[in-house]
Amino acid sequence: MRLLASLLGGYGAAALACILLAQSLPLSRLDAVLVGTMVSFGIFATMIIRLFSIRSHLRVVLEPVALCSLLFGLTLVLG
Amino acid sequence: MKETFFRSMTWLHTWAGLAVCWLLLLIFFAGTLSYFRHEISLWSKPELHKSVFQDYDQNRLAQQIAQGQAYLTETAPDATRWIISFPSERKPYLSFGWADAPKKGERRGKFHEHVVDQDGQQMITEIRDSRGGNFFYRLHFDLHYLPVVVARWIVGLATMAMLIALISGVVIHKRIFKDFFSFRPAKGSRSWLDAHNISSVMALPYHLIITYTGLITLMFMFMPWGALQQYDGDVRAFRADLNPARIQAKPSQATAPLIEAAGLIDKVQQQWGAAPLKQVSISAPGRDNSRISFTLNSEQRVTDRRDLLIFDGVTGQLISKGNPESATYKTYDTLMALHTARFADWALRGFFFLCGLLGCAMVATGTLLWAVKIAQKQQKVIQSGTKPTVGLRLVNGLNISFICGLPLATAAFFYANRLLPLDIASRAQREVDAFFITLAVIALVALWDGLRGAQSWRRWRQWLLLGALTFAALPLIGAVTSGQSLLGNMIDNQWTLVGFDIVSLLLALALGFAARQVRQSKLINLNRSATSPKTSKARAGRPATPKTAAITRETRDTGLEEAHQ
Repeated sequence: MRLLASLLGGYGAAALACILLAQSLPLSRLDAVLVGTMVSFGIFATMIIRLFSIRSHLRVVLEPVALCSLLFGLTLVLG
Repeated sequence: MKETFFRSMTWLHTWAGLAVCWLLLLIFFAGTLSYFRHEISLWSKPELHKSVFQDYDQNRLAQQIAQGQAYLTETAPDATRWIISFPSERKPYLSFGWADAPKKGERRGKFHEHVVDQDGQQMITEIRDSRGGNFFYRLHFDLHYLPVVVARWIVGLATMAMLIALISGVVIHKRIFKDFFSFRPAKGSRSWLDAHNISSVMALPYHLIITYTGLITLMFMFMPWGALQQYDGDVRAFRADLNPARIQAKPSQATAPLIEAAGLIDKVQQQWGAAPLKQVSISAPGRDNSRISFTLNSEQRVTDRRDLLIFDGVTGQLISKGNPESATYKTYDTLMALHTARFADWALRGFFFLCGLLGCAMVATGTLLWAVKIAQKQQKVIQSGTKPTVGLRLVNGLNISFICGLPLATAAFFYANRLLPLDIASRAQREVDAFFITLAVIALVALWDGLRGAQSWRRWRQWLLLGALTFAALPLIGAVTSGQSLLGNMIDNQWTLVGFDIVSLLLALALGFAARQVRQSKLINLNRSATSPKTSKARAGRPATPKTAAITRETRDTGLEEAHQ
């Protein structure tokens, strides 16, 4: 459960953050993609650590869902 | 999830590490050898060990290019690509190579290489078919027997698990500085914990960098979303931006005469001065979309990109000067370079090699620590004559299969390279088979031992001794089968080959030492390790040990033990 949440949720958040950075950074297209992609792995790792450290099972599901929704919303607004 | 952050991280460290430990060991091992990929390749082609070595010579470039173009026009007129490689530190000979048109279902055609001998006249064409160092290089991220994409995703997941294990490992290692200086040998699980800590902490910056940059090398496969979104799914356009030199058009059908590549050397020197060149590559020779690219030898700079000048092969016009120049791009490039270490000279790569070995040690001691811990828990059952549980026997079996198996399989690969008859079909694949058959045999023996419930430490000693013997004999086999001995290579200044023999002897010493340790302290012997909790308690009670430290250690151990439940 936790594993699933951290893999899917973590990857989802990382992927969305990658897209968000790629489209909103004030850099050339290639550079923004590079930064976004390189940073996303750090986000993935942080998410896994975070999800394995909180105790509440509910929050393990809610946190990635909330974060992903937020990021997705931002990509829509900014994109 | 557990009561404290500390305990959660302990749990995470244990399971993230263990979930992928044997795969990680394979990846680490293959990657470590890949630092000397070209050197291993050179060793595995003894046809090139005599009278081909030469230094880079600026004054002869034009003549060498002309010679290569003439030779390739005659030998391989239908090739999709010709490559004239100049002598360099890692490939100290002049060679003319070409790629066949890919057959159906192949991504790229077979590559051939003929080498020019020292006096520049004779061509050496009969070079044994061997993958050499490229086998380990590919094994590192493509594994083997698996579709490439699947394999890379597996490797990527293992890498992520490794990154998580590293981060959580740092978190749970409270006394990171103090423990670095403590090693308590022959104390069962305590010793393995110490060894695990030392090998991890000593090369921690390396481990972190190599894991993160490992993800970076394949990042557009794992995380393509930013690129896909920004380029509207046009992968080709993105790749062209990222790496303009990599994009290659298919040879067109229309023919057009190729110009003399040697004539371009003046234009190249206008751009680069007398900087050494690595190679000249001519794609689609004789077609109207032919390209001639000159590659700078960038060995001394921290970059993983090839500096290229690309000319039109029909008109001789300069088309492209290569790579993007932005700071972001350079960061990316530097991260890639830190992983591949192509920029490094032999000494620095040697240091990376050592760090890689420490990485292997970190993974191996981690799994051994786990096995010893389970064994401790089952000590009473085992002492009363019952077989250990299936889980423990499985872990022991996998440990011995990978830890002893990888060096032995590598030795088998090298022996096959030298001892297989030269004329058998698909010889390169037979060498690879030798590697995996050896691994399989050791695994089968481990399985047999496991089914019988036999004690495994004797087997450890046997395999380690065998490994020591095979690596000790490798220089001998090398000398007999190549006609060039260690001494001869020293006299001829063939330091690559000398280095190979020396590393092989050092490896033999290390394996021999390990075999001796297994006999002396019987670290893996279940009975002996079962006594270690007593000794550790006795130690903790000693007045010399600060009390707080003892308590921390106890907590950490409980943490680890809990993780195994």
